[in-house]
Amino acid sequence: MRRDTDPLSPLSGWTHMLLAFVVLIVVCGVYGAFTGTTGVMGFGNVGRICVDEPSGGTVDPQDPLLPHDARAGVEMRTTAYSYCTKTPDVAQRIWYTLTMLPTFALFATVLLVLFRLVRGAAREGIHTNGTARRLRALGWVLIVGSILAPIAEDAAAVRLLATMVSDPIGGSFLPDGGGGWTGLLPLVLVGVGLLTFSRFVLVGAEMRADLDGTV
Amino acid sequence: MARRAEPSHGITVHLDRILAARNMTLTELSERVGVTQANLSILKNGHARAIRFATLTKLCQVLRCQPGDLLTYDR
Repeated sequence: MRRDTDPLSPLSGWTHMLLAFVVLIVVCGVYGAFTGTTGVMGFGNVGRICVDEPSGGTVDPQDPLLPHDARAGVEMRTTAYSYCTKTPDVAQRIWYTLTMLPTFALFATVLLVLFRLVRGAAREGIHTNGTARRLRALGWVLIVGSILAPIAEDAAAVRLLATMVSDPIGGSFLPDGGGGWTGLLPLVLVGVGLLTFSRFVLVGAEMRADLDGTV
Repeated sequence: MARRAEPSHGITVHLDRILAARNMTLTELSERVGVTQANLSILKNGHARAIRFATLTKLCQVLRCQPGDLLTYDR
């Protein structure tokens, strides 16, 4: 069986495929939002806009809208209340967009940096200062982005919720129950790993320069 | 191609001086030693980071010299 000896495989193929997919989704989404056939991140024909308030509480087990009947003695709780509006104003659309945009922006930025990393490594070689620099950039994007994105999205969700309720709300809760934080935490570790890996590549680049200069 | 860094050593190669003393060109040395002209130029211009014992041996054989004639350490 023939082995694929391309050291950039399969990252190269996946990056190109995902980047093309994201570009296609963005183009289709923008077109759909402008023509009103679909909604993208709060704009266009989005139908309703919802935001979750995670305090939750007990639920009446006899509620006919529940999907299952609870057995006797079983208490039912909900983890979040969802506030929705079918007629969002511009401010609500913007806040709603900001509840999703940072993660998408992070994803798109990571893909772009990955694309540059793969293209640079294919052109200059793997063990180069340029590859190490781009790996380090990718690591920092992941670390900073995965910390800032949930903060920005939670802040936007709090502001969106404030437009939907009549009483003042505290700004200290995480509207998604902190799920975004735990979900993105591994990305911080991956980012730290990439920073370390970029140092490996720097050592490799130094060794390669030594080899190039050996007569 | 990796960018060539400035030399981090104090070794000076005197290939040009010995070639002139032997009245030999770099092309001729390249043919006799079996090392490409490009690599010999790297060595002659002081851009080499290392030299293999095998290369040094061949150079010393062809140029009839000692390693100390080719290389000196500058403090």
